[in-house]
Amino acid sequence: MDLSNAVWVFIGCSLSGLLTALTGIPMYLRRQSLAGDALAHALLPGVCLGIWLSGYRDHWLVYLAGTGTGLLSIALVNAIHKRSKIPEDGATGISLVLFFGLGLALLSSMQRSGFGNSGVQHLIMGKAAAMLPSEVYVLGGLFVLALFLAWLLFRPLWLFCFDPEFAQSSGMPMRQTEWLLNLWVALVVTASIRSIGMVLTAALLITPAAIGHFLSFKPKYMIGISMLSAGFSGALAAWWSAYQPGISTGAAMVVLLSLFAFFVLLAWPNLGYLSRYWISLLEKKRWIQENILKELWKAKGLSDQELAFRCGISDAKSLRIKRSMAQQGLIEKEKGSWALSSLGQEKASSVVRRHRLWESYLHERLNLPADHLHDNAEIVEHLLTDELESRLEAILSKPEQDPHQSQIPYKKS
Amino acid sequence: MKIEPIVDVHNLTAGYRRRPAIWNLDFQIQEGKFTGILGPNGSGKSTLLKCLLGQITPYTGYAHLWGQKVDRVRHRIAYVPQKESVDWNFPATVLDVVLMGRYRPGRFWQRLGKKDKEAALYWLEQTGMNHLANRQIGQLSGGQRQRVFLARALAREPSLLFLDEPFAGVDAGSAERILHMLKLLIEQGKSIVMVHHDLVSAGKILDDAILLNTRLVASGPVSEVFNHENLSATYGSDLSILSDVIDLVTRNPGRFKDPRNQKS
Repeated sequence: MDLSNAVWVFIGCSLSGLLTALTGIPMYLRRQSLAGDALAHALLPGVCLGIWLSGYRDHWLVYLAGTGTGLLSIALVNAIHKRSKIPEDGATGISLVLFFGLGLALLSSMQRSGFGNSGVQHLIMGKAAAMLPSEVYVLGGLFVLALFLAWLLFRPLWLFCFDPEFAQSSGMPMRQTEWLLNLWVALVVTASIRSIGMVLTAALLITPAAIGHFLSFKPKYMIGISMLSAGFSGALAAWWSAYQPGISTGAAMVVLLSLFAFFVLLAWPNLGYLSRYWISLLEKKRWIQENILKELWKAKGLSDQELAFRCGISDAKSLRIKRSMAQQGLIEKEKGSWALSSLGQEKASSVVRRHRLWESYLHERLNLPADHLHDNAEIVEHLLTDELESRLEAILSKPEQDPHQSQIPYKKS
Repeated sequence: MKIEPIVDVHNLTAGYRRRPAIWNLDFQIQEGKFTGILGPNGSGKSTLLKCLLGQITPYTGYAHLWGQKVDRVRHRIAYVPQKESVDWNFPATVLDVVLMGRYRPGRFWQRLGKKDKEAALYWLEQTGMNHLANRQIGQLSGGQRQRVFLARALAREPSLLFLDEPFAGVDAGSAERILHMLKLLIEQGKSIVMVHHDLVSAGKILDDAILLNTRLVASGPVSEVFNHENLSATYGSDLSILSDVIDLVTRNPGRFKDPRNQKS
């Protein structure tokens, strides 16, 4: 195909993102996030060796040797971990440093002997601008294969990640599955090294999966969201580095993806940290408003100070909230003090009704003494739904009075 | 005529990291019985269960199901692990988890079909969980989690069911429901092997018991093995010599493994 270089880069980076995101999901779910990082580092000596032997950076020998040293590093981790008391993460650390060191040694000696032009120096940081169509074809082929495998093996893999003990007892070939997954990760990382660079690959394996998991607990949505966020950041990064050639594509991809991850963690509606904080503020305000309504319902002509005191808030805050309530038409000024409007009257009686119904329920059904009821009802009165309220009315058969002999105000029907 | 046992354990010694946790066990479990593996903490109950499930290779002896290695009969067994053994924040719905029970050896690469989904929903209904099918598993209570695990195991339609402490951390309502399901299985002629720690309920619900404290104390019908002598031998602490020898074996640099037991 005759496409301009920028288009190849664009396609290649998007594919890279989609592919690494999909590949990283099993690693993330098996809590082996750092193993991806180690594997990526361990590919370096193999990739260098491949380039050195073949003289090309997109030769099949590069993929073979890269995958080979990657798997070798995992075998080393298993050997160390299973035959000594060194824990798995310790063994991973040892193996990572060993292979990365070997790779760096090979890399520097190759650069000195004139291999600089075949792009070895970009293996670590990634430089997509020099991406070859043949490399994009490999990425595309792997992506199609990944989609097919994910479609076919999605459920058994989910089982494998969720509950290895049960999977083993059902007869799943555990060791073979694990090695196939590792082989796949090694292949994908080798193929994406050109655009992302090996150091940053780990971020693209894990961050998309984390975003997907944060936003959805349904497996298919989780997978979709992970792939889309990584695919988009790949596309954007390609576009960005096309305009500013100095920027490394891998770094751009990781920065964009991480920015998106932080945005999601902080501000995603209903789920992000700030969103939840904002919702809790609104909820607190609603509780205070309902308390004000209740106090005004119980005692008419309260002074402003007395009202603020009964609601446990400062005078200034009380004033602010009352203004907003007046705007909503809940309360109005009457002879110099605040009183309920007819809408406010209705809402207030609902709060009081729920409070007293709940007290009756606690007293009658849970046999709590009369002095244990109020504090609990102060919370539940704000939470009960219409449906729960009518169920309470039904099982208590509409009592006239609460346990403290106060009238329960029912709606006039 | 002697009845063929469903579980046959012979001279079984096994453990982790070269430390034997069970010593020279010999016992058999009969088909159609509700059998409990009982013993104090650290008595090797879980190790025994792992041997029966083929998760660890024994140092000596064997544990056979239907007279064969467990790998050859996996399609006939199911396992309910302890609910603490998994991460409940995992992105999956209740139905996703129960569907995991529909895989059989040799067909893991096949996609599940309509029949599998119907079976999963059926077992969710039987365990009283069908209204929660689309819930995220992390939102379930302890008892509900255990019921999901039971539904997943039963979706395999096993002849022999293994459970690891199914009543630990479970509310009374769920426990009753689980027990009811297990009794139904026994009525249908299925067999159950359960690791259990509560002696009081064990006497009421089990047919047979295996009393374990590193070595086998007794095995057989509950009415016969539950006597003062056996129980004090199981839960007492007269094992100081045995634990000293275990220490010796663990620290000894020699290989403590029967060569006949190497994985084929």
